[in-house]
Amino acid sequence: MAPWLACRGLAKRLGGKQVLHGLDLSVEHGEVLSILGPSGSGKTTLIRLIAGLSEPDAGEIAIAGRSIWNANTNVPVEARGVGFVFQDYAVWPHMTVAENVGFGLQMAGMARSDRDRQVREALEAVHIAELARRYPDQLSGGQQQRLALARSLAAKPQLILMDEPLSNVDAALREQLRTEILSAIHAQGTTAIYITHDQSEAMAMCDRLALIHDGRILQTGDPEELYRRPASLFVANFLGGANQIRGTVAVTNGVAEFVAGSCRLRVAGGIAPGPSDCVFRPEDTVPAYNLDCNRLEGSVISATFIGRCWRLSVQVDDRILQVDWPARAKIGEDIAFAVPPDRCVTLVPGPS
Amino acid sequence: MTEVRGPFRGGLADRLVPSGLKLGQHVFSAAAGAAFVLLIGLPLGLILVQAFMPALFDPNNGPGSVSLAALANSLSDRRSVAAILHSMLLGGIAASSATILGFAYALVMQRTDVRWRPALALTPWLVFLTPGYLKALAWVLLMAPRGYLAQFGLLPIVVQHAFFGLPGLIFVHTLNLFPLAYFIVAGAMAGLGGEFEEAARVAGASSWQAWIRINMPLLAPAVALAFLAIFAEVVADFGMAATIARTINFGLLTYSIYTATSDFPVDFALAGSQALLLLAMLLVVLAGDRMLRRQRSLRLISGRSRPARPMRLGAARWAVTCVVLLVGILAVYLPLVAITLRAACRTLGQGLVPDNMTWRFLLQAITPDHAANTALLRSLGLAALTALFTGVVALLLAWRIEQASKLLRQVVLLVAVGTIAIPGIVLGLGFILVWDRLPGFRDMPLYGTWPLLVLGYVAAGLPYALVIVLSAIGQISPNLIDAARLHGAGETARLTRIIMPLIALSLITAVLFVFVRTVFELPMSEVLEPADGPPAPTLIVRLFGNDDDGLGSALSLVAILCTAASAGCIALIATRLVRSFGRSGLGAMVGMSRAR
Repeated sequence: MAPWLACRGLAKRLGGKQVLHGLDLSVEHGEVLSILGPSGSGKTTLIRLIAGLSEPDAGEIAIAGRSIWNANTNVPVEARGVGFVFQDYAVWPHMTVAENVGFGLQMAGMARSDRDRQVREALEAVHIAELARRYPDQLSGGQQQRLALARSLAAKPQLILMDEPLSNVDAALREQLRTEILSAIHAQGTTAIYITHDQSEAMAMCDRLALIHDGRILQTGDPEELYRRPASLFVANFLGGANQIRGTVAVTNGVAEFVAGSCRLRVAGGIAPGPSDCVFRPEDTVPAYNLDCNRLEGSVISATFIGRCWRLSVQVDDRILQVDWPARAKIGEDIAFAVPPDRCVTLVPGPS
Repeated sequence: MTEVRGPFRGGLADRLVPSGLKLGQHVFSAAAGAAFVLLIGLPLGLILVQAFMPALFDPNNGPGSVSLAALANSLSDRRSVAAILHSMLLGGIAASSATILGFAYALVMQRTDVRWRPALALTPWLVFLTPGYLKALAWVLLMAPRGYLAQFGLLPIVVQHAFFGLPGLIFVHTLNLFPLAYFIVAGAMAGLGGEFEEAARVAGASSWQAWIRINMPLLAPAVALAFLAIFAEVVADFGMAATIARTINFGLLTYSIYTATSDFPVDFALAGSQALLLLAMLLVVLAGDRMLRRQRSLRLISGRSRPARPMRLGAARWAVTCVVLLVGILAVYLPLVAITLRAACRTLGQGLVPDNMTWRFLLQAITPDHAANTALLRSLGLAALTALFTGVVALLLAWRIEQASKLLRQVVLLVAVGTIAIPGIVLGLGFILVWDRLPGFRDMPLYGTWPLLVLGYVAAGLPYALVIVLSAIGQISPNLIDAARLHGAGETARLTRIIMPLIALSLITAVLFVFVRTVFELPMSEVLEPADGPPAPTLIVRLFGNDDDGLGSALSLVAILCTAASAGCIALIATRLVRSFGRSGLGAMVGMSRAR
């Protein structure tokens, strides 16, 4: 069956730069999809195209099997009925909280009594019902963010697009708002796309995660799948950072082994022999005595306390690797650590 | 389950919306373009064509062929050449002196602990809003052989002689135009902040060295901009040229254009070629202005920065305050006092004695059906009409431009700023050519009527209003407008529900600015004077010219009071009303009220 929201071959040039390169994306009905990518990767451009705030150069956008944009069709923004939460909130400063939320309903010609009820419901859903008569400049940043969300929820759109809505909120409030936004969206059964450049936020805010880079979707899937099985070095690095070593995979008697200089690592099976990059995360390393294989040795060149453990930079041959260590280590101290084979991801080397 | 808003609320109808909108947009764009061409493009175009086809509108020999005769004539005729040289000389000197005064004023206000700062900051605005020719006429009252200063024994004869010559013109222009330099330089100083200077001090420079090596080079582009703006104002000025300069027989280009079109025999070819030379001069200035604005340092210092620590003046504090106060007194308060006194005196020469006091002139100015009162009411009415009309046109044009491409916006803004530089007298000449001479237009019964004068006023005021409204719309985050579209607001709803409330104060500022400007607008009033009677500015200048300066002063005073009262009331009501529903971000948005 065709996906509910489908973007096919979307291309867009902006200011002489190709921002989107024939991008494909699909979202199922009722699903919350996070799109994660560095700034300039085309995330915002993508959702602006879906909303109709700008037009693609080529491609097609369809919702529920019907095209809202292609070479011959262009349903205008005001008729797409898509909710949008802006990074800077974009709440209208000359309207009260209630007027902001009621505006779209009024534009749709809804009767006064229905409107009032729906406004109240939307404000209650984000816990700011008591602020209905205030003006936006009398609200805190978090309250303005809730207002922006309530405004886009009130019209009960089938699709809500969120453009880094929490990037202007302080860290403590961000965690709380994440949960609230997600539950409000799920409660309404709305499909949503959530844009962010923050990986922990992206993982927290979705059913499925898509990683975008340079105008292309690199990988989509369950957040854990992307974290455990990154399809490229970029995905591995962008999702939490990883050590990478370039070498070769050799398979003997069905056992795959990655070799780079003195470093020999057993890796999970099913891998074709040949040149390869091996990627593993600092948090997957363990002291060597905990594991009977994949031992690496080196000397500590720096140590930083990061809360649940120490993060060490360790010189192993001619490369520096990041290792999480249960205790303080002295600079210059020699240590031995190991990486479980199932945490070593091998990737066919890219051009870079 | 409540109603769900999906992407296909209107089905086919939705898809028809864009093409319908586009048709409306095209019609509107065409109408807006036509208005712009009619008001500004066509008049200027005709001046240009006529400069190279001197006999174009000659009833006997026209249209004739292309020739450089008129241009050559205006560059060889003794009086014409004198007028050009006079204009450039006056422009150069007055721009220098006004820039220096403006710079000093800004320096004192921005960087010292001078007293009475709020009151002193008001002076440049008052100077800027009172018409130059009224202040010039007031100075004549003060400096005349039996004028007020002579009566109080405050006027050495040398000074008096000098005043009625080039030095006097420079003096009056300097006092009239220093606010422009003040606005530009004070803005740059505020943007410059104290960091650069403090960094220099930390690096071992003395306060004086920091100023010479750091602040002055950074402020140089702003100073140059101020010089260019004032030079353009001086050479384009008609008010002083038609009053003070005319009385002392110091021929200036703008007045020369006027006499060529009004004195017998009318010489449109000469007027046109002189107008072209004037425009060429201003074009050079405008090009310099554009180049300066592209300077990096100008952008560098426009960022947010910490205000500099004010310098303690110590013992000199009172002296500096008095000097700054004196500038204000000379530039605006003393001239206003002179006009007020003259309005209440029978004659100038008999002085301020009880016997010489009279209510007659002031009563005439407020007596219905008296010529002075009729002119005043005519001007107030026409100005109100002009202001409202200009406001609506500027709003619609700005809204259309804002939605258009970035390039178009840049072009229109450039044209608008360019048209601000077009002297009123040149635009007026263009209007005569179109509505009195051009076949098709001359047959319409508009020339010599008040509707044409209103059109002229609109053409002269529109660029200012457009710049104010465009900059206000430009300060609205595009997301606010996009958010409205996403909530189903169409074009009209976005304009009336989002844009208009957000820019209300700027829009009102633009309308009031055009109103005040139009009540005292001289060149258009002179060249497009309706057959049924003159508007106030024309009558005022005429009364002063006919030694009827008592009534002239009374009319000026009443006009100033009426304008200030009506504009003030509207501004007061408007700020109250707007404040009551709009609360956020408006303060910043309203910051921009300067037209240039």
